[in-house]
Amino acid sequence: MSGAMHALIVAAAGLGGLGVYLMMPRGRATNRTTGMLLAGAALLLLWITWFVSFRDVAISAELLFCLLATLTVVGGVMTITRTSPVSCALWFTSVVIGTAGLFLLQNAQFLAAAIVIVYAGAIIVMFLFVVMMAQQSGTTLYDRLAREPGLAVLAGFVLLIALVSTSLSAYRGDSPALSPSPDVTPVAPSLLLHDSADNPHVASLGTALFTHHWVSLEIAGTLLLVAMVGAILISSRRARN
Amino acid sequence: MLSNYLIVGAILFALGSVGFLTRRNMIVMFLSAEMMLQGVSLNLVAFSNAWGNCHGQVFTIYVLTVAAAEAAIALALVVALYRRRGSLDVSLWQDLREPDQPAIVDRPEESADVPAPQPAWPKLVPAGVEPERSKEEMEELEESTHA
Repeated sequence: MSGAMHALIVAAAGLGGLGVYLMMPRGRATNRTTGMLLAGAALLLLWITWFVSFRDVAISAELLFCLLATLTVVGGVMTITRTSPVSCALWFTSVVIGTAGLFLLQNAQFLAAAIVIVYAGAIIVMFLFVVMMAQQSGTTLYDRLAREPGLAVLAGFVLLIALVSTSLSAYRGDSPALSPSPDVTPVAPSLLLHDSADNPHVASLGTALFTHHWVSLEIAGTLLLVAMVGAILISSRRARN
Repeated sequence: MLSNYLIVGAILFALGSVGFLTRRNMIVMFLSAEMMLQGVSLNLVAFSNAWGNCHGQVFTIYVLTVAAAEAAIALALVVALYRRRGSLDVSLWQDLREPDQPAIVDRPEESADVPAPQPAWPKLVPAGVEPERSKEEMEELEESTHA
């Protein structure tokens, strides 16, 4: 986490922010090609940052990380810059799949499956909504005109720089509360779902969930029930009197 | 490397916030909010793996639950708002703003005759041989086209 890496990330964020601004739907002023070129250059800088930090590029997990992170970031950019809500929902699936792959690389097999299942259902509902509500004749005016994209991209750029520099300095050990203690070693990524006896991933997750966090589990169940009741009440067509 | 995952999570969060601030379609705004939650989940899972325990993953399960509740409420609200105004444009609800704030109006040079991109429908190539027509049929066809 040297200063050079920091500068690379800032440069990538600036280029990517400019690219996202140009790709934003702004009516006739949209400049998608230039924006895509700039965002691609930012992605290249990001790759350089990652490859510098890899100890051994030949490890398949690190190449997989590059692939999945690219899928996630490109999907995120396309989700917020496409004019048609159907394309937005489709690109969001690439974000979900990329995130699920990154979860697998981080030994979170249960979460990787759960996130795909939950968001696949959400995306199907989103498609139903788009089909029900979107205008049938092409995209609408409010889809083709983003509101104040320049200011929003600037805010996002500042937020990104703040987040990255905070988390990188925490990882560097500047703030001892956030960095892992030296006796904890990260678990090596294992892509297969077989659980060895000393490191059963899903079993240890279940143990943590039902021993340390059982109160939050109960609260989560109550929250889901309340949300369901609220959704039915809000969307019910009957007149409230 | 933990820092790489943190960078991806931060990028997702920033992209989601940009999309939420600038897009006007309520469905796209909802998708952007979900993207911010994904960035946070990625950070939590990366930290969980770095510490070598499962508490970060339990946090992520909780985030997932809250995301599901949020999806249900948000989509119900979208349905209710769509029934009132007949449109997904969030600018139609700007009369909910503070009384001293100026109204947001579309700039005329932007909104004036923006060409709507037409959807590209597939074209079918005519196949086979056109059947022979009798003389009466040809006359009928010509009359109908002239009329």
